[in-house]
Amino acid sequence: MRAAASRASGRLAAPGSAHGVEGLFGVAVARAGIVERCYVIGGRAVRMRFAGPAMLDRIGGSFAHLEVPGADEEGLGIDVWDSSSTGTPAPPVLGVALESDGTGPIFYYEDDGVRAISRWQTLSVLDTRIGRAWFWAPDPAELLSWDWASPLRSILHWWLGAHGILQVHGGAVGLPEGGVLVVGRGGSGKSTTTLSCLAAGLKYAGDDFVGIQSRPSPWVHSLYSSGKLESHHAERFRELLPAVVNPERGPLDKAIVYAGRRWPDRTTAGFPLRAVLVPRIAGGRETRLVPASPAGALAALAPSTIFQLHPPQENALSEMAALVRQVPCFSLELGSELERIPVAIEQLLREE
Amino acid sequence: MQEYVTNPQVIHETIDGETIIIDLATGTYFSLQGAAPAIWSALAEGETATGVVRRLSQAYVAEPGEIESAVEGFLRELEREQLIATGSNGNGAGVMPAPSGDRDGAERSPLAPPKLEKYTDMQDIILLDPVHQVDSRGWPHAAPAETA
Repeated sequence: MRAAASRASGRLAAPGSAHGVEGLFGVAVARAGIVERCYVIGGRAVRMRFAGPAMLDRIGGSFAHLEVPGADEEGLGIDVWDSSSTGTPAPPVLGVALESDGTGPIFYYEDDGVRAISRWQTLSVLDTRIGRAWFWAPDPAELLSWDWASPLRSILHWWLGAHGILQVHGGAVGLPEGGVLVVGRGGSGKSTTTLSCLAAGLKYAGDDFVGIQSRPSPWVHSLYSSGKLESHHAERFRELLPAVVNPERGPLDKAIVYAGRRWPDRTTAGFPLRAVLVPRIAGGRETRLVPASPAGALAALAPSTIFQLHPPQENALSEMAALVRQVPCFSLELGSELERIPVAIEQLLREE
Repeated sequence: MQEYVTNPQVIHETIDGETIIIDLATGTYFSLQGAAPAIWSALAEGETATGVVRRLSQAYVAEPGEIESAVEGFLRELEREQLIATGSNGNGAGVMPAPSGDRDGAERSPLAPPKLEKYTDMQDIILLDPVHQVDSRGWPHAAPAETA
């Protein structure tokens, strides 16, 4: 697939839309057929159309908990396809190269309501004027687990942002009546916290990226029901292992579980936000919650959100600040007995 | 009367007396504590060095020269981190009306030394992120001549 992709490379001087990609998606559908799914994401209807089943198989599990039979109104339509299963050429590269962060080629385009980013060998395009988006990948099998477990991130980042919902780097777990946002850099215990709550049967809204809004009251919107297990999680969460959907994977890939498919009753589309937790691996067996400063929580939440989603939403920092001002913030001092983590969080939520 | 401008690439928020500054160009972020948020806030509003000292004198109790010394040292630190630079702040001679003598009678607290903590772990995240190890020879690749 690399060869097919390379042939079509080149910058489109004036993308003018989505134009090129719309045509390519049409060709892909003509060759592979069309599969449709409807979801409610961030409280709004999203209709996804897949050219053939390959990309649905690859990314659909993350949205399983948000699927609905049909949508009377369509807030956003997303067309998804790949070159490998449809035998179609790669779309042209849109925009200009970013002087960026050494993560490989990145191209970004923004003009007249159209945004596009070419990154990690995929293309995301959103035309806000008509509420349409396109996502292309060369080959579903070549996507890294990190990417396909939290798919369409750029498109959802842009589209939700236009509707007052900020996508943030954090997990969220809790009870139907309210939950916590778990924030912090990799290695801080964020995934350990959210996975322990999933295993214990708390409501699971995501482990890596969720949507938040501070008005009219703090709220968390689930985006993905996927969970990513690091190698050290395999021993600690044995009950999750039978649900891993990629038992054979590359050295860079993580084991993925789809909570929405395996434990639909443990997932949620969202809940009121009651607290922000900043986990920290501490000594001892018990897990403790210690009051923390809102500024400390903001420092744990904001930078990794802002630098992972391009371009940063204009009001991202003030929106996150508004959130941590409204709910209590805690340092979650993680002990070695993992089953104590969901107990501590549930106790906090029942007291709040 | 030295004027300063804040780096337009940084964004900032202050909560409960602590300021978070994020440098969008470098990925570095900072936490400001003690008297530092007051100094930063004054600079962001266009205050000169003299004006910053005047504001702090109205808010803090300190030994003679202590505030001047703290402000001078902190401004050097901010310059070193490229969070501010000398230059016109667009407020004419940089004379911002100091908060009117309205602090007469207001309680002043002992000077808390300005403190700047620097964090660079965003670069670490980039380096550790597995997606960064992806073979970058595949799509997308624009021909150099075609790249703007």
